[in-house]
Amino acid sequence: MKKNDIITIVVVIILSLIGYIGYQLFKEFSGGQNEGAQVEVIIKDNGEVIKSYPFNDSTDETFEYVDGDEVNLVVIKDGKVTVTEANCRDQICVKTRSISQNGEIIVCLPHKFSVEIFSEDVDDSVLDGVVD
Amino acid sequence: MSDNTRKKFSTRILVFISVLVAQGMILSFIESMLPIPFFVPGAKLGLANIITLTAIYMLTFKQATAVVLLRVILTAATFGSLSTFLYSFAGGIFSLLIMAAVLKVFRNDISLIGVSVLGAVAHNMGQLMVATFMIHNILMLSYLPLLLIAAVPTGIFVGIVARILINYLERLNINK
Repeated sequence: MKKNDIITIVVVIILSLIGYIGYQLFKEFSGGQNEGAQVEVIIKDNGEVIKSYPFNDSTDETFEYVDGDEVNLVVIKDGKVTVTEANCRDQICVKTRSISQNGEIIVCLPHKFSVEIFSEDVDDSVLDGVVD
Repeated sequence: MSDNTRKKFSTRILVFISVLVAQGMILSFIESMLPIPFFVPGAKLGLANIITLTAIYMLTFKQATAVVLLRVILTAATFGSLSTFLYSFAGGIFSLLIMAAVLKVFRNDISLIGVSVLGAVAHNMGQLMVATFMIHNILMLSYLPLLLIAAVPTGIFVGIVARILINYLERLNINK
C-alpha cells in the first residue's frame, strides 16, 4: 500500500458518498412525498410500463409478472413494495429490501424487469419538512 | 516487458496467454457459483480481474487485451448467455482500459491495490451501464454509490491476490 492507494480509496469513498447524498436529494425533491402528490407504483418489463397502481399506505395489491417461464411476484402492502418471489437465477430482486419512497427501484436483471415508485406533484404544493 | 526486441508472440508468451485465459475462465466460473455477496444488481466480486491485472502488469497492452477478450468470449460461450456476455464484456473492457491507463501513467507511484480498486470501479460501472441499457430505466443509476463502495473491498482483495500471483509468475521469466 502506497500513499496514492489510500488517496485512491478515499476518493472512491467520497465519490460514493456524494452519489448517495445526491440520490437522497433527488428522492426528496423530485416530486417528493407531498400532500396531493400522485404516487404510483410502476412495473416495467424491458422499459415498457406493463402495470401501474396508485400507491398509498392502504394499497393492497399483488401482481404476478409472467413472461414465458419468467415469474416475479410483486406485493404492495402497508405502504411498502416488495418482490416476494421470483424464479430468476440471482434472486437479487427478492433480496432487495422493500421500497416505499419516490425514486426507489427494485430490479430483476435476468428478467429485464423493474418496479419503481414514481410520484408526480399534481398541484405545486409547498415542500413539507420530511422527517424520517 | 522490457524485452521488446524479441518477436511479439513467442511460444512462451502464447502459452502464458493461454494459461491466463484458462485461469480467468475458471475464476469466472467459480464466481458464478458463489452466492452473490451483494444485493446490488451489477456488483460482482470480479475474481477474473486478478487475471486481467496480472496480464496488464506482465504483458503488453495488446496481449492483455487478447487475454481479456478471449476470456470473456470463451466464458460466455461455455457457461453463459448473450446477456452475461454483454455484462462481462463491458466490465472486462472497462476495467482493462482503466487499469492499463493507470499503470502506464503511475507505474511507480501506485501499488496494485490502488490500480485494482480503480479497475473494480470501472468493472462495476461497465456492468451498471449495460444494466441501465438492458432494463431501459435510468433509476438503475441509483445503485451507483453502492457499486462504488462495493468496489473498494473487492479491489483491495483482487490487488493483494494479483500481487502474490505476480510475485510467483515473475520467476518464470516469460520474456526469455
